[in-house]
Amino acid sequence: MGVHSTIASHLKIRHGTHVALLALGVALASASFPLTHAAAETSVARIALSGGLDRLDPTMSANGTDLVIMSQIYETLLEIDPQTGQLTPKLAESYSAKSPTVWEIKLRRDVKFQDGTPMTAADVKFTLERILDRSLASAHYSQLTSIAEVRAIDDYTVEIETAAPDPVLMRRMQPIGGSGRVFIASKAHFEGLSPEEASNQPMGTGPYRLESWQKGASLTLVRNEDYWGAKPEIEKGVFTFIPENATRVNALLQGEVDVIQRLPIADVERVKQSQNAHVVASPNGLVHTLLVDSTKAPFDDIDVRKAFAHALDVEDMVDGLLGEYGRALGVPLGPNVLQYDESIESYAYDPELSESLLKGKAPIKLETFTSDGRYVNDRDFYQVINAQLGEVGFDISSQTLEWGRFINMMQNRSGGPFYIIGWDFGEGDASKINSFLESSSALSVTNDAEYDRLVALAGQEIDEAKRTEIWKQVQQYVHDQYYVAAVWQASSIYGFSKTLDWTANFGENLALSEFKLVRQ
Amino acid sequence: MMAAVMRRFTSLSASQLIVALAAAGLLLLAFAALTGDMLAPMDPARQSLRARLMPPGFEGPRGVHWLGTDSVGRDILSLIVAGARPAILVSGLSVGLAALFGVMLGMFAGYRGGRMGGFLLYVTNIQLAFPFFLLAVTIVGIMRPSVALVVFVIALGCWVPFARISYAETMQVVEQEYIEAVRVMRGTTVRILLRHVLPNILPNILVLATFALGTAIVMESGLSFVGLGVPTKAPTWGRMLAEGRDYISTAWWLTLYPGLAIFLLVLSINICGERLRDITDPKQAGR
Repeated sequence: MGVHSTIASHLKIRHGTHVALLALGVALASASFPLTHAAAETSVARIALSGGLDRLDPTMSANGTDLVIMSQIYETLLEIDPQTGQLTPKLAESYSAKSPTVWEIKLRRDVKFQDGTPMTAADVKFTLERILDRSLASAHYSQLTSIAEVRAIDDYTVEIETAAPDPVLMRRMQPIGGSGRVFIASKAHFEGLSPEEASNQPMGTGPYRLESWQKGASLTLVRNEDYWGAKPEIEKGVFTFIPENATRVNALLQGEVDVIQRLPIADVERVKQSQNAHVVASPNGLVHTLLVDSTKAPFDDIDVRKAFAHALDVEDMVDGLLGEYGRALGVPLGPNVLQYDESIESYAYDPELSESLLKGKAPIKLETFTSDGRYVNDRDFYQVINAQLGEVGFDISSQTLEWGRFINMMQNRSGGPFYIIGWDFGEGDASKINSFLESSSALSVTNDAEYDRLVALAGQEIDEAKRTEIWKQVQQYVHDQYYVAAVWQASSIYGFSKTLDWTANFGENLALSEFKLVRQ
Repeated sequence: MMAAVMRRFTSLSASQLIVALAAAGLLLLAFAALTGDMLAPMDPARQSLRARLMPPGFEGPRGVHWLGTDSVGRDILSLIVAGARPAILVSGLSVGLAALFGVMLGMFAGYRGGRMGGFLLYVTNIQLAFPFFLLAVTIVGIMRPSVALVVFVIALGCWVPFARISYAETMQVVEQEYIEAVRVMRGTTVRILLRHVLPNILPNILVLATFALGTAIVMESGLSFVGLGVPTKAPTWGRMLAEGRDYISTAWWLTLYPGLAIFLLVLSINICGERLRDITDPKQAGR
């Protein structure tokens, strides 16, 4: 009866009841937060990742959460400057092109692995050859296929010879971006280990080393006191895994953890208003592409692709669903990419045009698949897209799939007529778009000889200005062909305890060594 | 006139009042299910990103959203009204199918008895030992969800009681002398079962079906919750619950109202089922 009367009363008094209920909810929620949060005086950072770990072998894994851990333990030859997008030295002192096909890399002389042995050219050669070892099926293999030979000239000089000129090879030697990371591993340490052991005993040159790993529960990193570079403030990082969004946010607000990955936009306000946490965000998050499978009907017809793209109000969608934490883009590249063409705008919202393009073809029935929870508000994006397509003559029935299965289907080119994939453009080079547009790629949604010809030209061009020119041509071509119906970039949003601060730059790369303690 | 109605209303006892309310609620929902979206104050599929996640009572350009809006700006009250149809249709069909199959099997086994009966009990035991939800998720997960598949799976989850009860009841009925008489007069099995056994066990089956309907609604919502429900344009109640989960700390109305809808529907069905049982039970007659 209580329930009946509640309903009855709030049908009558529509504002009062809800304000009261809301107040009660707020009161309950704030009562459960401890008001005093133990200051991180011991400089331990407790971090909740959004997913579990798979394996910590730098050759084998490209899994996002694995990369977060490995980026603290391992290092790369080069880094990237977030402001200029230029490559800067890290484990390498310098690099130069001796000829169009030979790169010479000079290594720092003061770098030691965490077991005390010095890092030398033999380790770099070992690392690259391990990735290129086909029998290991490395996750980063496809990024390094241009390499013909790696030579250790002396202890601190490495030469890489490529089969054909590869102007972007050095970009693969920096740690940002979803594709290909060349984390330098110790030859002496890895040679004696089975793949299983190599994954369980990560050991690199980085600022943190593995202390303990309770599989499925937590992983602890401690500061490498003999680190060659600047000493980080944080002594210890304790990582736990909380896939459920609401639980992760509550763990932060209740002071159980200090840092969370993937703070949902819906909870941003809550975190901002809390007494013990704040929001850290970077606009350079994943670039989401709405890919249209142009190899099959009905999207092998450019008019249907065009109708599809103009049926969507991307600006409104991004504004409504992501607010200040997202932006619509005109081309499927991050604005940080060197060759990004900002003169191309996203397709205009023009449902009349779409309807007229579909005249005689509508209704077009489509059976699609969607993801839920893989990307920021992806379920809502799919719902809005489906509704807007429905307005102009598409008839869509969709089914939500678990991400692992979905990405597998995409790789077999059976992911359905259209879907969203997010890309990390941290490496700052346009060649990334080949992953979904070059016909030889597993995830490709096109089979276009003209596109393949253009990017092959760009791939062999050593001159930076000419290369950029070709890539701008490619972007215009992709835009005119309507292969990617919509592009938007979502910010990477983190929740941080007020005792810690950090400046987020790219993707989902948490850098423990850059965390700063805030004295309150 | 009004006063007379009121007097009649107040003269009802508390339990009768509850039953009346439950029945009225059920009728209303059944009506909503039959008329589809017509009863909904707004188009349930209509989105508005400008008015997303608005609290109950929010007055938007389309009118007042009495129960608020969801994460793409759809009216929650309209979604709940529109969601009555899949909820009732799917669970109704499932229970119908389960009853048909279960009763046929149960009557036949009960009539033949012996090995046939043992076999039936054996099969139902296996079915009961297997976790329903695991079975359902596996079947629907492998195949593409459709109304027929979901109905089939839910029926699979609730046919056992029908078979067992009709088996036991049939065993009792066939021992009666008049059945013996029909048999002597060479009545066929089908004729005996349909004309003489079924009418005897039907009241109990009806009561059972009412309760099974409640269970089936919960099953359907559960399947929808994990994304394996009936594919519909607008979300079903279970899917609304799942979709609201992300916003539970910031927009509670996304989960509260569909949850209440499921709760009230199942409660009403159970209350009516209980009343039905009392009416059909000769020992309780006259109450």
